[in-house]
Amino acid sequence: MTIETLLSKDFAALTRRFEGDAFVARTLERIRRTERSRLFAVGAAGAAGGAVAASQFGALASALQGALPSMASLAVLDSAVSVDFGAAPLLATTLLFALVGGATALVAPGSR
Amino acid sequence: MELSDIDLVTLAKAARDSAAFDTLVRRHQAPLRAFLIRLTGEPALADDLAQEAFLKAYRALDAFRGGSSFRSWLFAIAMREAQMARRHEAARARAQDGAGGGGDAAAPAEFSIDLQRALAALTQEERMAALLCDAAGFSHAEAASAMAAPLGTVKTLVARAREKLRAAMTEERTTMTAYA
Repeated sequence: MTIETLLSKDFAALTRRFEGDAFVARTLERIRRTERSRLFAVGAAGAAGGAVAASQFGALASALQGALPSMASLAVLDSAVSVDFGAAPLLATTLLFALVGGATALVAPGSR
Repeated sequence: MELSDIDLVTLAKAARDSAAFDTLVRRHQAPLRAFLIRLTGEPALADDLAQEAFLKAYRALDAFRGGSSFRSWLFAIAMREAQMARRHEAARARAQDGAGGGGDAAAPAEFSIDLQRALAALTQEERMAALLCDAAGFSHAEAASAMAAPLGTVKTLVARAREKLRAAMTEERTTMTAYA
């Protein structure tokens, strides 16, 4: 019997012995446990980040309002139409947060 | 119809389908563990390494680009794990200054002791190459990809390993005959 045959026969016998034992269940359980821990950590970090961002929303909106006083109201077409920019700082802040959130989602690792 | 490894990897990556990865684990666990047992000579360590390799493969699945077969990628991860474990073990043994431990690792009862000894006498690279090509049925190219070594080097390692194994087995039998 050649060395190659000896090795492949031994390997085949060993492989057969491993079919259907508890290894697969153990390994899959470990993968799922790790995945749950990772999701929990990502969820906790996301919630904390969201809370911090929300606490700054009002302050940022006020800062934008103060920075853009001239845009409070804008006359268009010889005052035929008046566009109210009163909500612009709130809108700008929301868009800014959405932009930051989107950028974070783009660079954050995938599901694993 | 049974899905190929690449199909399953694509599903696991794109759809975040954990069932697809489960199938990959079921398909490759037995050959991987058999390979690691013969590589390390220790069944418990081999199972730990195999589990770690699957976990790392799952985490790094997005990095798998399909340039090699899934099994050679998986075996490459497992071999890196085995090398790291070997280094840690060597460091630990040096720290203990050889007190206790050591000795032949447990071999499954049905495994030829001759072959076990002969395999243990090979270098780590020779053992990897011989086990991948002659035991696990890898092509030389697949083994080269798994070992991150040039194809010619793998062919040489396999040839050298076979020669050494043949010589060791012959010597073993001659000794046994002389004692009989």
